[in-house]
Amino acid sequence: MSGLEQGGIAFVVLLMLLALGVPVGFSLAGVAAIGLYLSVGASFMLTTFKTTPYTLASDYTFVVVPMFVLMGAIAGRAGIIGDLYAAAQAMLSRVRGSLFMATIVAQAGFAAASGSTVVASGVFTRMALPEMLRFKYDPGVSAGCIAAAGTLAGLIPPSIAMVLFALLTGQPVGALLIAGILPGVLTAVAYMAGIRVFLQFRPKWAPPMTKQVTWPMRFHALSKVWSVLLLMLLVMGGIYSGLFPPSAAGAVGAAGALVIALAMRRIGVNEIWEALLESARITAMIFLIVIAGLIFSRFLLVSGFIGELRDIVLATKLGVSGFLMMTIVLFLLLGMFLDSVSLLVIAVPFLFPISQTLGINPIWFAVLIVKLIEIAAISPPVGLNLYAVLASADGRVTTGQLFKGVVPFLAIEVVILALLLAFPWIATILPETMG
Amino acid sequence: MAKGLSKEEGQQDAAPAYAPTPITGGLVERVAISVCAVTLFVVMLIGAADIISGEVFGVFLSFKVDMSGTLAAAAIFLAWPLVQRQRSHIRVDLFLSFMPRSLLVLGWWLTQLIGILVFGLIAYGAVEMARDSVGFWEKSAATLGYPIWPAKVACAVGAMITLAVFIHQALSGPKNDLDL
Repeated sequence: MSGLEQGGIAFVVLLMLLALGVPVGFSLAGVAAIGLYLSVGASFMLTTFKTTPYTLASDYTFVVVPMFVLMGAIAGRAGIIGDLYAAAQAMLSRVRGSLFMATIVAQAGFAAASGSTVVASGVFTRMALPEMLRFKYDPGVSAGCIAAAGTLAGLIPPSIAMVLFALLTGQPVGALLIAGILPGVLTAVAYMAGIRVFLQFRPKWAPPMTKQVTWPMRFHALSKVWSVLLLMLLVMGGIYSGLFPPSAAGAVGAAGALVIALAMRRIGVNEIWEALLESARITAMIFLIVIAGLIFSRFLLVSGFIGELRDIVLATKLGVSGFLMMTIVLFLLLGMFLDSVSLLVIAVPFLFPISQTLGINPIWFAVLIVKLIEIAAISPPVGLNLYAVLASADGRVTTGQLFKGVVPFLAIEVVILALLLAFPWIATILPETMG
Repeated sequence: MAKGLSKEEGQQDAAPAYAPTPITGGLVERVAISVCAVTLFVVMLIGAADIISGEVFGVFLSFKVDMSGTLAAAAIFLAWPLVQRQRSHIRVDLFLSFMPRSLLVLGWWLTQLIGILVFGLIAYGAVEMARDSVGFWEKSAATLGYPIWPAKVACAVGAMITLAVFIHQALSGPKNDLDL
């Protein structure tokens, strides 16, 4: 049996298991175990399962994952998000659709303190959605705005998606984290500009607000966001300037968030304990999928699937554009029913080697992939962020309203993706100038 | 002041941003996750202390790479029992609401069997690794000679407990989980 046939059967079985509700990590590792056993024998399979989990979990470079999760958990519990949102509201109060704009700006700010898009979406739903509904904003677009702005955490460092990409491909973590800054900022600006344009045609989405906000109020609200700015400076500045390696940035960021929260008297022993427990659980869930994904990719490699697929892609003369188009279609299709982490772990191991054969810049490719999984996160019917919003909305918005409300943001995402495809320097310029 | 401008006022209408994470499960899993939480705290302290001492005093902690790595591995392995007890692993649940009961039961049993296979293999590997490590009381190559074997033993314990959770769940059957 050829490698392509073996890999093809493995993917079919994998999709069937996923459809039956078998957890992603078990499905990947189970299929890989049987595939390795049948293709290269029990000895190789046992060695792989003996070495891969511990080697990966104990790799110092990836200690950054639990630390970034912990940093976000502490920042969230310390009420930093509330400060950000209040400041963004105050500063943007004169702009039409100010609550949309404030949500986008505050989510971009929170993205600099948390790498989880789902956490961002859930937390902002509890805080921003009631406020938007109080001012008669369109429920669907409001919820769509929160879900879409949640994806900013996927690009703006500390991005867990970027660390996972590094983990799967061996690319430098620091360069990948820094590469996400410009595309992340571009996304936030495009969302705000896009919403402004949409409001010209759909003014009912955001009725004018009558509340008065004075300059002293604005300065007061703004004075409270120093904590986020400090965290941003600490993590991004430290990595960009080369002051400390990305592997240390997580611990420094988490400790920084803790010190700030303690200094502001916003966190107690119970909250710290909760944050640690949450980080432990999320990290365990993520690492099982990544470990399983790496074992699965090893199976794809030793079975010959990746090599044969690469030969076919080269033989068909697909070229860089054709390959990227194929990647986009694949992610949009798989993204309809797979969550971001699983999508990354399943697709990157066989797409990345082909991209390198075609000479695609790995940093640019990473940014495109992360952008695609973030688009998938807000694509109905499965988009993970959509469900994070629905789960936190307490019935304030229906599934139908949200699916309709996120469409304007998907349209904006198409424009951003086109810009990233047309101008690769948006992703590569910052890593090239790193210290 | 207008509504929503201060944290205090802004939160009047909204639910708390963070709800406490319920930690349920057996005593063993709760002890394991507690050790795991403490371990993560230590990893954070080591990482931050290394940068501060390095930048301020010019002395970096030589053991930080091995210690952080091994502790993080122990934390991950020790968190798995509770994640499995609570069935929190990420899954695709899109089609579950449309499925007949027979397919739900099939999916449940496949989950248990594949889980036992996967964690059986991981536990086998972790136990082998811990046994090798304890055999010569493995220490870090760094100057401090930090012992690595306890972390490997913790990994083996975490994997074994997870396997035990799977077997216990399989023996209990799908009745409770699927509300049959």
